[in-house]
Amino acid sequence: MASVLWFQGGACSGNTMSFINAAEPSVVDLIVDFGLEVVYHPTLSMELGKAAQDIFWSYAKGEKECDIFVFEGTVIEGPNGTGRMDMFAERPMKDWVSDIAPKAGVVVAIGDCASWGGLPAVPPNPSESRGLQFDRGGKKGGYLGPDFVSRLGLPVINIPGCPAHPDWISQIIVALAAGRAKDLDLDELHRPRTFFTTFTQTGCTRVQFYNYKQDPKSFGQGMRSGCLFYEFGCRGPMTHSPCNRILWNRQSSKTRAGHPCTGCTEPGYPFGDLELGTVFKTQKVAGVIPKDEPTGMDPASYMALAGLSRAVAPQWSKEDMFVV
Amino acid sequence: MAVMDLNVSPLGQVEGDLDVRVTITDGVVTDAWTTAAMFRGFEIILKGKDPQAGLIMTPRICGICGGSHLYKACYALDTAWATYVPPNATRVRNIAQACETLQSIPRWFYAIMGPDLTAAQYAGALPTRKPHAASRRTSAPATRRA
Repeated sequence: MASVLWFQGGACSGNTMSFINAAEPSVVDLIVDFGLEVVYHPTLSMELGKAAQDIFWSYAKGEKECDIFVFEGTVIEGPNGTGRMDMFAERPMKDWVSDIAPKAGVVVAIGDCASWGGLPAVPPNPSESRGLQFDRGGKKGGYLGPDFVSRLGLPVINIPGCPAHPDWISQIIVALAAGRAKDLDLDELHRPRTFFTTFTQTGCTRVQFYNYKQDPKSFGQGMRSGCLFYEFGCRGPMTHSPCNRILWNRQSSKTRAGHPCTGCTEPGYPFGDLELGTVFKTQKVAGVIPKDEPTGMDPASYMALAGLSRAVAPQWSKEDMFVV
Repeated sequence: MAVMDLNVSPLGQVEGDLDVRVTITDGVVTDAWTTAAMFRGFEIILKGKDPQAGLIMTPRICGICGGSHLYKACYALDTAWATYVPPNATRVRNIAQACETLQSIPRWFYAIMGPDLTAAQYAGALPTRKPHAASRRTSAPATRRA
C-alpha cells in the first residue's frame, strides 16, 4: 500500500489528463491491483475546503507520512518571491511544497513545468516559475535546491514531457508503489534511464529520409516523406524520449504525423525561447550547418556525412513513396 | 435571520485553482464569489515572440481543452496572414475537435463529476428508472411480428 499525494502548481492539468489516459497499467490497475492509495488529487478527489485542508496539514506537519508526493506544474514564486500568484488552500502553493516535499518518501516531478519550469519559465518568466530541482536550461537548483533529498534519500525524480506520456507516468508510479524507488536508474537530469536514453528519432518512420538528407517540400506538402530535421526544426535526433517506441494513443507520434519534434523532454524546451524565426525552423550557422547537431556529432563530421548522404541519395528517397 | 459565510478553499474536481466563498442566509445561498488564484502570464510571455509560437504555447494554457486553444491559435494566424485554408484542412481540424470532445465528455462525467453522485445526499435527489421501461421492451417484438 503506497499513498500518493498529488498537487498542481502553475499547471495546466495536462499531465493529470495524461495520467488518467494511462493504459499499461491504467489508473484503475494502479489502485485496484497495485494498492495505490490516492490521498489527494485535485481533479479526482472528492474532499474540498476544510476537509481537504485537514489532509494537507496532516502531511505538512508530519502527522502522517505520504510515500509518493507528485507535483505537476511549476513552483510559482512571484510576485517578488511571495508565491501569491498561486494560492492553494489559503496558502501560497510554494509553502505547501516546502512543508510536504522533505517529509515525503519520494518526490516525483511530472511534466516539464515541475521538472525545470517548462513554458511558464520562458523569459520574461512573469510568474517567477521554477522547477522542483532544476531551472530552465537544465541547471541544477530549482525551488527545492540542488541538494534536496526526500525521506528515502532520493532526489526529485523527473518525468518530463509536455505532457509526459501516460505510460511513463503510470509505469514509474508502479515501480515506486512496489517499493522499487532505489532501483530506478536516473540520468544527470534525474530522468529514469529506462525511458530517456533512446532518442525521439529511435523508431521514427522518417529515418530513411534522414539518412539520405531529404526534406519534405514544405509543411503540408508531401509530409509523409522527408526528414523534418534539416529545415523544419525537428529535434528528434537530439531529444531523449521514447515517443517513437511507446507510441501516443498506441498509434502515432508527432514526427509520424508530420509535426517536428519540439524537444519537450529536454530542459531547453521551447528552444530559442520562441524568439522570432526560431519556431519550426532549423537554426543554422552560416546557412548550412545546424546549430544543434545530432547528439554526438561535431560540425565537421556532420558536413562530411551530409554531403555524402545527399550525393548518394537514391531516387525513391526524393519521391513520396507512400503514393502508389 | 441567520447569516453564515462559507469559504471553500480549495474547491476540488476542477483544475485545483478555484476557491468559492458563499453567503448563506437562512439556509439559502444569497451571494457567491469565486477566486482562481493562479497566474502564469502566457500573454506576457508571447508578446514580441514568433507568431507561430502561439501554436506551441497557446494549447498549453489548458491541458484539458488544449486542442480548442490550438484551433483558435491556428485560426488567428490564418486570419492575420490571410491563409487560404483548403476544405480538407477544415475537415481535419473538425475531426480533431470532435476527438477532443469524445474524450472530454466521458472523462468529465465518469472520472470527475460522476463520483460525486454517489454521495449520500443525492440518494433521493436523482430520478430513478421507471419500472414500465420493461413493459415497453416486450411490446416491440410484437409490433415487428405484425
